[in-house]
Amino acid sequence: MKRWRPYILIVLALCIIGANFYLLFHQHSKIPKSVYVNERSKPTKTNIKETVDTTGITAPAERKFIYDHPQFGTIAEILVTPGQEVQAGTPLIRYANEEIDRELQRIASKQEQLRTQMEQLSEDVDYYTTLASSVTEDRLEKVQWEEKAREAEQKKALLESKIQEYEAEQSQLTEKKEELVVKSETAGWVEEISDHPSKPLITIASPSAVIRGKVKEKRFGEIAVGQKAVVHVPNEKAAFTGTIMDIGKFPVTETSFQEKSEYPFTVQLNEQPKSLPFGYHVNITIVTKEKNGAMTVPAEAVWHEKTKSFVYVIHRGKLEKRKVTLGISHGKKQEIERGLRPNETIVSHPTKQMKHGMDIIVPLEVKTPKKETMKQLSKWVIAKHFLDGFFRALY
Amino acid sequence: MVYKSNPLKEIFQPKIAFAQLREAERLKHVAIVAFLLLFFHVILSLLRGYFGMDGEELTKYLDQYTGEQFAFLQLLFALGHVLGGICVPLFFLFISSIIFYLFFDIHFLKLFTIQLAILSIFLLEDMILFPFQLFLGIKNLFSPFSLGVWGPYITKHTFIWALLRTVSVFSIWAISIQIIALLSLTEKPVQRVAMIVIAVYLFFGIMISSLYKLSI
Repeated sequence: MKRWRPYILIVLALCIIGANFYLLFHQHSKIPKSVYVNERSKPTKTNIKETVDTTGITAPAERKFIYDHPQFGTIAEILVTPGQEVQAGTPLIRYANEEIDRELQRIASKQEQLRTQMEQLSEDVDYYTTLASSVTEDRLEKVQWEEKAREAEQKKALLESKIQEYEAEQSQLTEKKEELVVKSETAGWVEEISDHPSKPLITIASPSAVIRGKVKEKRFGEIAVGQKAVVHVPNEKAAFTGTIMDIGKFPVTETSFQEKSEYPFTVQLNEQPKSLPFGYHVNITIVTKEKNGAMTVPAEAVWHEKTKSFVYVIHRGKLEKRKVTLGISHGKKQEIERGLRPNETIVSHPTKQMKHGMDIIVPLEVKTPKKETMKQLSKWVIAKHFLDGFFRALY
Repeated sequence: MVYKSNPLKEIFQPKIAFAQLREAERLKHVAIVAFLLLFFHVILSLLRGYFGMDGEELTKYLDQYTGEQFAFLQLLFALGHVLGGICVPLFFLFISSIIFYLFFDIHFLKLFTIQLAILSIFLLEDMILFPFQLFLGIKNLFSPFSLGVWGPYITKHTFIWALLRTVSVFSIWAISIQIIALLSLTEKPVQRVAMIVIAVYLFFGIMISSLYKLSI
């Protein structure tokens, strides 16, 4: 019996310790427990924004398409080359019309003929006038010469009016011919020239750029027309701001049951990026929500349970598990809309062990106290906490 | 014969150790052992102070003071704790040795050697309890090795809780070692020795519980 005594005692002690652990940790334990809070924080007022990050490319803001018009005739010449810069009024295409050309030629030869006749008549007038002036007044021939000079003069006037008629006709035809040259209505660059019947003949890209981006279907609901977007050029510090101009209703690529769709959107830039070619890949940050002076806490300080969110507030040395309404979040910051006051202290990293009503122990902050701090506290307070520490050594 | 103080041998093989102590004419290493035990007590107090253990009362004032003020109060608390870590074991060593010196006709230094073994048991308790306190949030008052856990289930009086806390596996072990040691060194009957030892520890228990009650 004596040999067994120590073993019986050990078993008994282990039983008591086991029972004690049960009393300490069962669900409705009455034993108050402490929790170690190594980091605490206070809510801060900050400007917070919620963003969606995606990618995009630079693209011309507008494209002007020039199509072939067979009614104008056949194309005689295309006056521009791909990549060429054009201004409003720069000729692009010239059409050929043989009928007009023929008519113009006919008018020209007619005009030439009439002018030769007119020259002849002028010579005649001069000749008759000289003859008339060389004879005396009373001679019959003088009257005849004068009569002939007048006749020639009249004929000349007739021819002149005919020439004018031809000139009017000529200018009309020239105008018509000029209409056969298609001019650019806008400034920009010739993007493409194609002779394919289904494509426009000339595509002119406008000089101003927009950003065409795509957004995943999961985040499609978050973006809206009018939202601010910041465009970053990779490996460059420069950033451009803009706003979402439109959002596409159809996905970028063909829809598939296996893969998730991506939808296009366009960002209009407030300032045109210089020296950035079209088709350049950029990163886009869309600001979906923005709040100034929002009360934020570290995102890690929020404890999530199913659909509810909580923060652990340190109130009079005890943990208070408090339900909060979350606002927007960005990076490591989370806005608290309701449930927290600005001066309250919260636990920075909540853990599973934490429960409402627990006592708190906080680690010592090792820093040399300032003289003013010591003076601010009464001697009684200093003595009280010193003695408190002293007597806690009893256990 | 020379006896070298060795608390580990004394608490795990008390009968052999204390029989040797009875025969001893000279004692060695007593001061070194006392110093080592005090050193470990101070280290433990420093650690507890650093982690803010038992500082629940202090945390209640967290909202009242500025960050700087609170840090200063924490420092005061930790300093008090470290000082307590030196004074309390010293107080226990001398007072208990003196009390037993009055009751038994034993050489004071031999009694002091016995008390070093007892102190090492309490140090062991504190060392084992430390991780439980830090990681599981168990308070010292509700040590799973003591009856302190039963307190809140029995009564609302914190004095009783504190008194129950003094009854632990380690304190029973300490009392047993104390009785074995004193029996080895005197001719007095078992009942008398046990009565005196239990009475002395009860006195210590009541004193600690009263101080605890006063401090909260």
